[in-house]
Amino acid sequence: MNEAIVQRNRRAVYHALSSVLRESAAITRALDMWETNFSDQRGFRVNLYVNAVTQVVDLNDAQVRALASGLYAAMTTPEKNLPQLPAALRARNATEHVAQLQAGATSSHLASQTTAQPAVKAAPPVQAADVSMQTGVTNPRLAVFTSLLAALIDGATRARKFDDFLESMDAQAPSLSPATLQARTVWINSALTKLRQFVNVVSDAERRAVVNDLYVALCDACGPVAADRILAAAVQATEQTPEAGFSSPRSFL
Amino acid sequence: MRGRMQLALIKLNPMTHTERKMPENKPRNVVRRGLLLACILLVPGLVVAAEPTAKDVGNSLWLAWLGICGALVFFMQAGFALLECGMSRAKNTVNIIMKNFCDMATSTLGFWAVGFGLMFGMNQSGWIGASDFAMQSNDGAAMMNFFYQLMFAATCSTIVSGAVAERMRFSAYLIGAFIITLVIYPVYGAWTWNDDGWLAKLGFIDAAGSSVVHAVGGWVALGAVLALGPRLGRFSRKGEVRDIPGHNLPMFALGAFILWFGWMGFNGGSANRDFSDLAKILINTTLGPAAAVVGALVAMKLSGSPILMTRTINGALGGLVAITAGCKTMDPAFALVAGFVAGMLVPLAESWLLKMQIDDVVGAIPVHGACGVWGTLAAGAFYSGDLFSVERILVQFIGAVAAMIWALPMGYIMFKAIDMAVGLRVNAQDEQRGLDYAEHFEAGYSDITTSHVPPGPHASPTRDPA
Repeated sequence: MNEAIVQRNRRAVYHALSSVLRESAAITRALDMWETNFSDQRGFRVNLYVNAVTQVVDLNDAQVRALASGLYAAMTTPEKNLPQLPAALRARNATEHVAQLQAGATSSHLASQTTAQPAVKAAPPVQAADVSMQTGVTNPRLAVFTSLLAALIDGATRARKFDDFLESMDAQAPSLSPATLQARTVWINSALTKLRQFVNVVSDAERRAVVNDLYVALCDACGPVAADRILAAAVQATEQTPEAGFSSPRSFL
Repeated sequence: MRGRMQLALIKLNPMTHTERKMPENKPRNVVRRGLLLACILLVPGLVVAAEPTAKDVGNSLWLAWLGICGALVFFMQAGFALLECGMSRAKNTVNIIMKNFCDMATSTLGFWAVGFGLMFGMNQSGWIGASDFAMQSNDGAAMMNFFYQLMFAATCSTIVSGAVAERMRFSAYLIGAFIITLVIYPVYGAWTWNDDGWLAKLGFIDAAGSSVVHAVGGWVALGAVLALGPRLGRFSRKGEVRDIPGHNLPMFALGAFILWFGWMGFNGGSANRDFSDLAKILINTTLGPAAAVVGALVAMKLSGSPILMTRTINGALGGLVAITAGCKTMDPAFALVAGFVAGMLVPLAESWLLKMQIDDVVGAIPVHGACGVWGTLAAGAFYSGDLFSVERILVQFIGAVAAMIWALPMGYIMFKAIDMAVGLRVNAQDEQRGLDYAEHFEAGYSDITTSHVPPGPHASPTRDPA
């Protein structure tokens, strides 16, 4: 991963964290979580990260929502508008970086875990399966569905319309079973971070309606033309995943 | 006026001033030779085989011209289809072509069975005709008149298609188009184009249908979009207007060219039997939209809007609509005025619709509704030899208001009833997929990459409950 991009993302994540979390220890823990598990990912999934943060820091629903929203905004903010990291964090990150280089694994997920701070070690580790969607191995259709939803959410983020998107989702009342609707409410209240929990509740017959639910929210938030483009891009991105060879994302359209 | 003129042809067949002066068997110029040739080629059954008199030739020429005009008006259906297609997203093209193609069929059936009788049948009450249903006659002139009128009826119904594009169910649209030509269009036509219609008796002027065809179509379209609602995401919940650009603007422009071309027949068929006013009609039919283009450009410039091709073309179409009522009673200078104002009116009306959050895909309501009303008033105000007659303007105003009072609620009620009966709007899933797939299971551009992704092989074309 390009160091300049990592630096930029680090500033963005810090900016979002510091706008929601008050305690510096909590910010440090959450930032360490990012350093350890997410900084080397090319496609940074905000929802997965926020979900992981909730495991190491106590956050209420409003904070989760604000954090996700802030992260989505920060990740699309031009670098020059992002505040600099505090000096202490900059120095620490530089030390970590040197250590990682010495270990010969700058972008290695495992290597970064070994250099993590004690605060992170004390926290429940984030399983690799969560990030890489290992469920695809046993249930490729579910994995494809999950990837498609994640890509749609990312599309709204890139369009800088995440807040509007979330608001639209909240306002809609799709025709889904009561159990799915309940899970959907929890998912929305988590600022769409609890994606995995949600997709596990959605029955196969309802998946198409869920994708349409997101599409309608995209239409409302970004406009129908952008929604079509985001949907097309999400499908194409999902088609690149290995699981898509077993189950086409187009079957959810 | 129009009905009076055509019924006169069928029943009385009077000798006109021009025909009396014309030497027998000696066409005066190339145009007449051309028309005679067309007459022989297109309507052989109407040509008297031996020793045709000037009256026969004139009659045949006129009928041949009417046939050509009818064909030109038919060709306008292609113009409407291309125009609407170009202004819509690629995922709905098949649906749009299907609507414009099939409404020709439903309109034909509805107008033949009932509509023509309601419009041109015996009209003792002044409100509705009550004969000539399921039109059948051995009289070539009567049948030609029916053919020509049929094309107008089809035009009226297809106007609605553009306004409701991309979200109305195919079956609902066809039912609507059928009812428009069955009842809505003919009843207003009975008031105006039937000799005994109450508006006709007041002296209402509408040579080729600014009100009868276009305003009625525009008002029904407004009723339809009010019943239907906007496309997904066209307006945000915060009131922002989102552009949904058409996928093929050259196609839109080609459609407009075809419409302008077809309009020569649309208005040209209103000429007197001796063609004495045909040139004036055709000149007005060209001057009106020409001035309208300038009007639209000026309006856009004044409002600080970019010079949009779509609005310019819609301005031209507005000019065509506006000149339709007075194409034979207006001097060319006033055709320019009528067109210019119409050109300025279209962008204004479009902006107003957007402000009201009314989603009209092609601008059918500004073009046909607003400019239809303006054209109706202009026909009274600019009546050649009786300019700015308050009486005429008042009659025209009554006619324009009558069109709105009749067609707008009827359109709304009809589409609401269709909604209750079979469902009016496709569901959000189908709107996402595009109506090509959802309604017809065919793609308009199967080999071309578009921003739209069609569903995969596992997806079912049947309607989902969601």
